[in-house]
Amino acid sequence: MEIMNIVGFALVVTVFAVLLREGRPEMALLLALGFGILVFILVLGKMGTIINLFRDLTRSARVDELYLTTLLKILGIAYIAEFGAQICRDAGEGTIASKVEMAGKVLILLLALPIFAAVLEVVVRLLP
Amino acid sequence: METIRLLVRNIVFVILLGAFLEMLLPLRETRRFLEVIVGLFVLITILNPLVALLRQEPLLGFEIQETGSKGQLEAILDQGKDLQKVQSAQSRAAYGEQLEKQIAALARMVSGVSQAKAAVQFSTDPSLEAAGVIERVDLVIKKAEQEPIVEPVEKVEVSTGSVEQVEQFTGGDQEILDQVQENVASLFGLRPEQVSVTFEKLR
Repeated sequence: MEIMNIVGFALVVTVFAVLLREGRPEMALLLALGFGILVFILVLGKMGTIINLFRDLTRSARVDELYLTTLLKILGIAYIAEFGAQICRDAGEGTIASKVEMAGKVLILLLALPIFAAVLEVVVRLLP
Repeated sequence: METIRLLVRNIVFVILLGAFLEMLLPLRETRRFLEVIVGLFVLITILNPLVALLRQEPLLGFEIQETGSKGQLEAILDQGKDLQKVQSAQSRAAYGEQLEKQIAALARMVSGVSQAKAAVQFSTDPSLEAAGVIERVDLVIKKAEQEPIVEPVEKVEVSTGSVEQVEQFTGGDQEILDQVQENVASLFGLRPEQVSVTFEKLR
């Protein structure tokens, strides 16, 4: 039951962060950041299994693997951008958080361009 | 049918993939963006094989049209038919020639016939079943001269044997004609009236 470990650890970190925020708010921020990275690393191992399943499904559906790779990259960018923005918000920097989110969106759109182009190509081919 | 089966299977796989991917999406701001992209991914995966299927048929039709114009195709077909007719006539002629030789040889086997010349007419029906069917046989035979080649033998009395056989060998002109006609008709499965036998007198 890894979720119990993670939740228990999260509760402890939260208590510490609340205590630290009074006297040393920068340490509380670092604590939250460290916890986030730790959870991310813990979950990353499990993501491999999910990604393998996706790859198998893609091969079964005879879909170009380029699309799946692009989607996974987009997913990664979204998670990292969300993570960074949340940290910034926790530190009270809402403006920076929104900038991080905006950068994430632009990068996502950039990566999604081949998919848009492919859809447009299909539509053009469908038209007489 | 097989293409449609594969298409349906692929669509099911892609929808499953899309559903799993949606579950992985983050819960906040970027979710809307990702939903659109996943939707496009599913759309393109479904549309691509459909477009390929739709585009395949006109391409095939175009290729067939390019092979040659209708006039050229008809000319080729006419040439083929002409060639078939020529080959058929040649094979019938060769078959007829061999058959005439066989019939002539058969006629020469009859006693009293020295030479024979046969002409075979085949059925004019162009169908495959009627190919090689004999319509009529015209046979011209030469009667052998009754010149004594060997010295006359003494009279021999034979107590057994067929009288008819003896008569055959010594029969008259009509008997020879009948014999030839009967032999040819029975061997080639013809009616006697289909076989015409006439004499060509010696000089």
